[in-house]
Amino acid sequence: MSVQMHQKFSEILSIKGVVGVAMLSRSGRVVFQAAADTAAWQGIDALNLAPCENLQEADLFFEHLRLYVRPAGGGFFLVAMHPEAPAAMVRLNCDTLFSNPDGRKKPKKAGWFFKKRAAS
Amino acid sequence: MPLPRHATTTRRVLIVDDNQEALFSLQEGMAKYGRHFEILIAGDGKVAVQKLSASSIDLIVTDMKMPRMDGLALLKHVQARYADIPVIIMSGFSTPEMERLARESGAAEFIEKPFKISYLHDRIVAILNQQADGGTLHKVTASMFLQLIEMEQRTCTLRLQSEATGQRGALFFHRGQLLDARVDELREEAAARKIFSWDEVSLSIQLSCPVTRGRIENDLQYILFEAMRQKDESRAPEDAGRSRQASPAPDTPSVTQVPVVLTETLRRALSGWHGVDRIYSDTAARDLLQCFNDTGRSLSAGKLAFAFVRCGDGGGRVLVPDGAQTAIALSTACPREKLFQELMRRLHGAFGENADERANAPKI
Repeated sequence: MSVQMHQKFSEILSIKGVVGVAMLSRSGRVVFQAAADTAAWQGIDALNLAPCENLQEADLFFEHLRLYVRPAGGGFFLVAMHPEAPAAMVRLNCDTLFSNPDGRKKPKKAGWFFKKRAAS
Repeated sequence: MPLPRHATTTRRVLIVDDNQEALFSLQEGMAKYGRHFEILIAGDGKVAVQKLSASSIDLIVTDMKMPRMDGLALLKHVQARYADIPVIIMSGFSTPEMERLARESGAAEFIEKPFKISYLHDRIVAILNQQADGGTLHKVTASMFLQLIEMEQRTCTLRLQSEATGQRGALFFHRGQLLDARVDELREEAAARKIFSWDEVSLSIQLSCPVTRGRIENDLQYILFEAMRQKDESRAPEDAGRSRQASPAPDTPSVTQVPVVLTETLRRALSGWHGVDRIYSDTAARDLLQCFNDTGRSLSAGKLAFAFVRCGDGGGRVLVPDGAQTAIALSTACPREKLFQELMRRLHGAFGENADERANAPKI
């Protein structure tokens, strides 16, 4: 996993309301995980997302959590967030991350433009 | 002072002055900064107006006193028709009153003659840099970004360029509301629809909006929807032959439409939503919903209220774990986040504090 991807994960994690990001292999092995809330990924080892194989994206709304799932690099990228988190911003970041995983031709980011207001 | 990489590739500056000697001197002097921008010239306001309609301009530098059409008249014309183009006024007979008038009329800068070429260059670069003070994005889908602007209630000017055609346009937002749009000579809703029909764009964000009066009545979602519909219709003849032979798209349900417990209530709740294509029972989604339920259990996230899934190029569908696998098919024009918020609001009762409520399946 490239340094740029790690940076991008950190950016996503810094969005207000996002509690964790993780990358799972198709077999369910945890490749990477980071969480703002230590409880966010408890039980992640037990996940089986094999039925999601043909999905381009999924957005799951649970009682206590919203989970955004995106197939990536032969596995799945997961973003756990509060229901009120700016999910459109998360999706936009995922779009740029997975359409340009090496971080080449990286423009000045507009992320702060939205984050600034969310933090106020 | 270098220019940042903008959404627009070539920056064009139009210099307007009736003094031919001064005009050519400015053109020649600015030529050494050619790597930053291209200079166009006009002998008076009338010629400038013609150049504006013929080419894409990023900034205007104009003399104040000119025959036929002076600098202030040109400034008013630009503000009325090309509000995204900043204007620098220069004058050899400057008075405080004149400067006040120029600034109050909306000039981005007032420069007193004589001045050094390097000073004018620096002012031009500074003003062009302001056009991206909110950042730039490349190869993004305009519709999604615009919904974000609306949702966050931003005041800004967006300058966009189609990745496919290179055509440029501008959108003006005040507190998330789309006030006006421009693509060349096209304006208002027609220009907005044109921009929304672009698949991928580069864009720069300016954290201010020179437009104060709304010229677009319909809301953003409606215009987005109409732009998508027009695009689909324009593609329809060429797609018609293919679609007759094509296999069903991944988002196309493989089930018959069965009345289900929630359907009528859902229909009522979602009536009037742009982008909700239909509501049906999708029995093929049972395994997927089971997988999602297991995921929620593993992460101690609680019960699944609903799930949005997208498989192909369509808008995807929302699955409701109500026992009948109610599915809501969405088009790409659907304002997804608003729909989710509405569903969450309606499902809230099922996730209340009451334990009995928690035990029941979500009810809409």
